Amino acid sequence: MSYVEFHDVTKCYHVGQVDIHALSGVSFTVEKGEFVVIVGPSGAGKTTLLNILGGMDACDSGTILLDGKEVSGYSQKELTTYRRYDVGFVFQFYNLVNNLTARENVELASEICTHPLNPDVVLDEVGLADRKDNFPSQLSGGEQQRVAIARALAKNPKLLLCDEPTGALDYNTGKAILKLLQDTCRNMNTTVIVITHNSALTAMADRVIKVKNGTISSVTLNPDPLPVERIEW
Amino acid sequence: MRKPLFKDFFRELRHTLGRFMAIFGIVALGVGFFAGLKATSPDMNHTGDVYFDNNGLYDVYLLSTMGFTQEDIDAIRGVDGVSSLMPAYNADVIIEKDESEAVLRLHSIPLSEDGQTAGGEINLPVLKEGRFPQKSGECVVDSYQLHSLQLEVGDTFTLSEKTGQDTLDGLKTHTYTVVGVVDSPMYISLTRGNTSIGNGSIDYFVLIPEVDFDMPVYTEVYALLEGAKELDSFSDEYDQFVDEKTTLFEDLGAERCDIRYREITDEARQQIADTQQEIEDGQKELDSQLAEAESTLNAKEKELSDGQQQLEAARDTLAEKQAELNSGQQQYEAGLAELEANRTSMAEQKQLLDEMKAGIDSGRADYQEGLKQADQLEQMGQVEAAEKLRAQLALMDQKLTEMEQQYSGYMAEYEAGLQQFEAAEQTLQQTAEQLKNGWNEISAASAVLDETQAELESGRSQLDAAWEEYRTQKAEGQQKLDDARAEVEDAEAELAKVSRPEWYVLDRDMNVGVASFQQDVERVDRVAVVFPVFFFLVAALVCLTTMTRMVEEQRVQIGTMKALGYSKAAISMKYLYYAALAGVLGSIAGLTVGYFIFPTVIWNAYTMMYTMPPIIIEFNIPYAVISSAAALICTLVSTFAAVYAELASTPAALMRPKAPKAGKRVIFERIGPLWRRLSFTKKVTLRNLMRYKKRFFMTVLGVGGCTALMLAGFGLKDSIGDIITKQYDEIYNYSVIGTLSEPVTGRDGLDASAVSDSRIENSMLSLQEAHDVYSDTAMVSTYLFVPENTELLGQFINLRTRVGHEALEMPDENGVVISEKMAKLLNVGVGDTIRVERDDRVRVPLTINGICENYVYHYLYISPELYEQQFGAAPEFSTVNMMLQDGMTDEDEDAFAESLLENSSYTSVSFTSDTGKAFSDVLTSLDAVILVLIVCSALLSYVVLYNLTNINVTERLREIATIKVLGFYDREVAAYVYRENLLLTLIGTVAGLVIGVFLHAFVVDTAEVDIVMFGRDIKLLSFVLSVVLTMVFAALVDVVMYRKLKNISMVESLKSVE
Repeated sequence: MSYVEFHDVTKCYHVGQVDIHALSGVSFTVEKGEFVVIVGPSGAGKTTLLNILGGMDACDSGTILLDGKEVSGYSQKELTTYRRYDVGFVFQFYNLVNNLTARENVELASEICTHPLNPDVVLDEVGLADRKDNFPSQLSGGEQQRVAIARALAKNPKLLLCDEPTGALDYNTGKAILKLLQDTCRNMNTTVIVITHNSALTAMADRVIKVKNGTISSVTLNPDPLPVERIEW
Repeated sequence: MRKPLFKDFFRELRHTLGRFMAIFGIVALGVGFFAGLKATSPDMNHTGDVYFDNNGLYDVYLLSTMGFTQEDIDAIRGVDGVSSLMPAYNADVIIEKDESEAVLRLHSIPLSEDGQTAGGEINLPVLKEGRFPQKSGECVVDSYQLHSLQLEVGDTFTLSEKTGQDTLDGLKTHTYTVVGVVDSPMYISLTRGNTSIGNGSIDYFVLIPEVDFDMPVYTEVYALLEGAKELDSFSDEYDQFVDEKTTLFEDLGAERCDIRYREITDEARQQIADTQQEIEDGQKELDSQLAEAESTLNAKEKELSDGQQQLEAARDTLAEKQAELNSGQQQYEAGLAELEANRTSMAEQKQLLDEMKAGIDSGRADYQEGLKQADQLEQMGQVEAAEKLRAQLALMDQKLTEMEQQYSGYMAEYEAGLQQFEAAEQTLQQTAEQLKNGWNEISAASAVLDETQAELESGRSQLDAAWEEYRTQKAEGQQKLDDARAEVEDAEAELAKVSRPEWYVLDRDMNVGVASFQQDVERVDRVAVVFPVFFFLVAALVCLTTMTRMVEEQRVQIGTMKALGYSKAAISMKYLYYAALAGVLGSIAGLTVGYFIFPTVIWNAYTMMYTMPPIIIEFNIPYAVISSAAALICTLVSTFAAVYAELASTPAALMRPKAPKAGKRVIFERIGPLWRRLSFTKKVTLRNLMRYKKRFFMTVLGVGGCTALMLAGFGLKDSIGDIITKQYDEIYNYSVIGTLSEPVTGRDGLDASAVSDSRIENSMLSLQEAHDVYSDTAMVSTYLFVPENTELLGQFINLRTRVGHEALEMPDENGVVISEKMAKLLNVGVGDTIRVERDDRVRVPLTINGICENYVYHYLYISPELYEQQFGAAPEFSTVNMMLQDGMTDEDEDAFAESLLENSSYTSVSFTSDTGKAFSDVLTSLDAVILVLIVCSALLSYVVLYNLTNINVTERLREIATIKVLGFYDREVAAYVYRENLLLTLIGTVAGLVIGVFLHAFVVDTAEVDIVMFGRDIKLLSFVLSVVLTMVFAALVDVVMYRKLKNISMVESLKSVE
């Protein structure tokens, strides 16, 4: 049994009179500790996939299992708990609370967890040992994203979900962030799922899931992922 | 606007209906409250004005010290600008029924033709019941009768003698039948004025037909002025207009008074001269009459004495005759006696003669016998014997013949005697007859004389009476003349004293009702100065925040539009239209509701104290324009400013996420020990609070404003409620006041039974007199309170300072204690001197020794010693203040009052609790106003909190979505947001309480009536209520917001920063 399993998951949005089939029968699996890249063009259903996997939205039908637990059957409250303890999020726009320092932003997550990592340690690990007491506005985009990653990691989640983590960053910074994510995956044995439209990133993934028009067009296992440094786009 | 923009606009509207409604609501509240409350006093004024105009309330009211003659009236009619005139009469009278008496003021009204419309066109009464008088002896009465002696339709009353003869003489009829009940524009307040009769205050008015007055001159004249009706009665233009005309009347008055004065004095002089002439004539006539009467009497006297003399003479004659008769009688009686004696001797003679005859007869018989015997003897022979016998017989015969001769002589003699006797007897009988006649005559004459005597005697007594009468008449006549002379002298003295008559030209301001109405309206206006402005400010503030937020939210859209090439104007139009639409609709709704609700509610409250028709609600254009314009300007300017600020940036900058406001350390972090102690979430809250300073101040001000408004409202209610409890429960220790039927100077004068009831715990004599008290700058009408002694005063009335409740010394000699409001009005303090005007208009100085807490009326407490010293007479106590036993129920009190009234010492008994209740009834009218304030403030506070929370949430949508993604439970998310809210609300509430205290002080100061001092304290409960209500609304808002928070989509967190 895989760590993450999607079985025939569908999701349909009703916007006014129109039904948008965001996901129509998605099935895939992810193993524990894998670095997964979900790739596809805009509107393919990546974000819906992420939302459902991250417990931010419920699917209409199908089964989702994480570590053997059926997430698809969770109530709203259980979903919250699921997000709280099992999932770490990294947003495209970092979503840091501007009024909190880097450490406090991390604490914001660690406060509510049962087995959080020490925020200082995590910040050290993401390379922000010197910027802990800075406010987001005093940090660069890359630094902010590092804080966001630290915030996600501090919860010690089973799953680290990243939505276009480099989307708002320049090339080099983006690379550094991707490296951080890859290192985290390798060093902490965290399952990392990155969603991106940049297919260049597929090279660094253990598993590449391609999404197209609400379905999985292919799942490729990459036996020999490249380190980030060697990827160009 | 172009089509897409239109669509965008309407979609925006639909999607942000909550925000739109918030702006709409707050504009509606602000505008409605401001305009409604502001329009209230103009509406009240307008209603009053229309009422006065429709019922022809006089513009000018003339009074004269000597009344108005027809010539005066004609002259007044000629004054330029008089459109209508009504000369009228009034008289104050007393009526009595079942031992209660009421003082009425009678006014004359023209008779009504159909009974339904009032006659004339000035001071038209409004019929409430029945009909108007159509003939003499009918009347209509005041609809407001608080007096126990109430008159209803169908009742008949008769004027009491107590009214005074002069007044009664001026009325043709003294009995009237009530045919209707009316209100009069002359009496719109509950005060009916003062008078010189009865207890000095008029209980109610009664309108009687003019024809029932019988006075030589009119007592008053009412006039309407041409062009005055068109002016607002309460406006300065009207005052000015009337003032100008007043001068004309005053000038005319001066002129007419001269004429009238001359008339009166000339008339009086003529009258005096006439009277003097009359007196002289009278004297002459009296003298001649008296002389005539005297001579008549004297003649009669003479007659009488003549008669007396004659009578005397007659009596003498009679006496003579009587004497004569008496002697005749005596003679007769002597004759009679002789006759009787003769009769006896005659009888004796007769007897002797008869005996003699009998002797003779028997001798003869014997002789015959002898002859026979002699014959016999002869025959027998015995001749010798016979012869002898015959010889003897012859001798015997001889003797017998001799005797017979003798007898015959005697008999003849006797017969002659008898004849004589009988003649004598006859004569005597005649004499007796004569005598009898004589006696009869005398007694008749005597009777006549007696009659004459009686006549003479009655004549005498008549004459005496006549004399008596003569003397009385003489004296009376003289007296009358003397009186007349004295009168003339008095009249002359009077004439010397006659002062020039004077006219008083009064306008509506002098009418107690109109004046107090005007003051009350001004009071409403004054309350309407602070509250609505404050209210409006809060509303405007919230509006501004909301619109600014809206523009900020749409920054990217604005940038896009700009990039697409839309002009600044086209872009800003959307927001301006949005704001304008909300502003206009809000204004319309606010004006519609506000213009109706506020004037109606407040008017209804005030009409408890005024007899006025329902309020006329006008659409007050100025306030509508001002408030709507202000609301529109607020929303539009703030919107424009916000849009403009955004538009100034380049499209690129706009489309880029706005640099989030930098987080920074807050001041609390510098206080290490404190900061470390705080939990993480608390730190976040504190930092957030300090970060959004604008929102912080907006919320604090908004919430604070609402709390302040509520606190001021509740506080005002406390201040008014305080009056009753503090005055009647805390300051007055006594519970009953009895009014004495006869004032007394001390306990000695009081009937022992008056205060001996066992239910009376303690009693104190007191005197309360109304006096005007002056300071250098002001005058206040005050009650002078003189206690029996100062020691008792302290037991009965809690003289203390308001602040600190320190007991005040009541000195015997050196000073007085006055009530606080009075001191304030007079602008004096302890140690200052005030002057009290005595009845003789002398103002006596008194030093203030203390200022005491007091809420109703003004009092000046003065010791009896000082009173006597300053007023020149010992106080005459007319009331008895009583403390009763504890634990008496209402029934007990009723029974007690009844038993007290049965005691002839008292004419009335009143409980302070009843007085307090009556007073609180009047004050409840202000309660309505306050309730309106509180309700509006509460509404406002809800809208403000909702709006601010709404802004807070929308502003932080992304943050909230993020923490939701992080796995915060709904509860925790709410707490994360609400903690700030709560803290802001708390700070706002505390600030509001502080502002509220000042607002309350200001409002109390402006809304206070002169004779009353409102409490200055706000009760703890009011603080608690204001806080709790604010909290409740905050909680309510939180509950509503909770759903919104719950519904925030986490997808928001994935969106790009706007």
